[in-house]
Amino acid sequence: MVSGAPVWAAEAGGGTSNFLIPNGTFFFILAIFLVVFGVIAKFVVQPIQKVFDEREAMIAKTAQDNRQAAEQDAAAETEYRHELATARTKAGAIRDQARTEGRQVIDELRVEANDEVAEELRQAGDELKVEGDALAPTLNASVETLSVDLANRILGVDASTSSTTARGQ
Amino acid sequence: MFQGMPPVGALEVGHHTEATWLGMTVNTDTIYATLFAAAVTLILALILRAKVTSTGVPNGVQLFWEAITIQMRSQVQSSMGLSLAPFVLPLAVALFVFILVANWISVLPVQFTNSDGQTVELLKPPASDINFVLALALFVFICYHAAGFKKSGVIGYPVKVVKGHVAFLAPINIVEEIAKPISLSLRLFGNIFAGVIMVGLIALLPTYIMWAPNAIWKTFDLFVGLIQAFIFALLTILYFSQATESADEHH
Repeated sequence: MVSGAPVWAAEAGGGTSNFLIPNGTFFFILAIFLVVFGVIAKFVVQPIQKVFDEREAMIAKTAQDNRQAAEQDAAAETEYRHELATARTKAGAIRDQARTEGRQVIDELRVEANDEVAEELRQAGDELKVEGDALAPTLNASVETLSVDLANRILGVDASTSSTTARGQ
Repeated sequence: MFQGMPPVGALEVGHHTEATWLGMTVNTDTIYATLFAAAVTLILALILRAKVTSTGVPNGVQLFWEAITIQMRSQVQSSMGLSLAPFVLPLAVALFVFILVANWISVLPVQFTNSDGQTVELLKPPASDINFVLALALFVFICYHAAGFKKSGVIGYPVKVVKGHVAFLAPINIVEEIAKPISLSLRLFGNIFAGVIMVGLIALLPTYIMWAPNAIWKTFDLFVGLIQAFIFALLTILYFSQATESADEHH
């Protein structure tokens, strides 16, 4: 290399080969690149694309799952509302029926109670009448004595005789 | 002061360590750097292969590959659709990552002084060698034309390429078709080669100030390396979409 000379002159004049003309290096570089290309095509781009595909499938599946879950949720909600409405109607019917039944039972019981009361009243009246009838002769018998006794006490005289006499007359 | 300045000739441009392998002259430094980039790429690929998961939490390597694959896939989808040429996506991903790693080699601060007393990088970015960019660009060129032939037929495809949309533009179409691999390769080559020259120029500065532009330039070089890798992959996809688009499709 000539010191101080222009660069290109030094290269073109002094060198045995021009660095702008390709030489055997070309083929070695090409071979190296083909190896790199093969490895990247096989071991990088293929697996990466597989990863992309799998990821896409996963995202699609998740979206579908979400949609399905939303649909199921909506269906459950509708069913719930329907069931609730049915249950409300049924409950109302049961309540009405119970009310009717209750009223009926009350009425029946009231009639029964009225009958019982009437019966008891009648029985009590009868009993009273029988007892009254039973007592009446006794009392009637004692009326005279009592009356005389009373009269004696009031008058202070013995009225029994007169009364007896009067009655006897 | 002028005395202390290193001669411009100390800046070697396009110099490669050469050897003869299989009867061919090869630039060993480029091949070693390419092997290094390939090894890094393959290690990342094998880590992904071992740990890839679709249901668990993906690790950093998987996120790295996923981000690139998603980006490239959206580019392929927007320009041509995934079904037309299924190997475009892996090709774009491979090109992007391989070129990215190869470009980012240039920020590694590994230098040594060779037998001539010159400071040289241990691993120069392979894209600063014309062989690297030509190998990739010509491979892409052949692949997208193969895809075009497969899509439009042995007769139909050349006619479509030459004729384009209107017949009188045929000469321009031919020039454009030839320019595609050249521009594709030389764009990458120029950007990365310029980065190497910039580092070499900065290295001529005195040591006490050299670190500042060096740090700034290498940071920018990271960005350039990323952009160029992305453009290479993107243009590959676009060329594929042009080659496989239907004749009655008007854009």
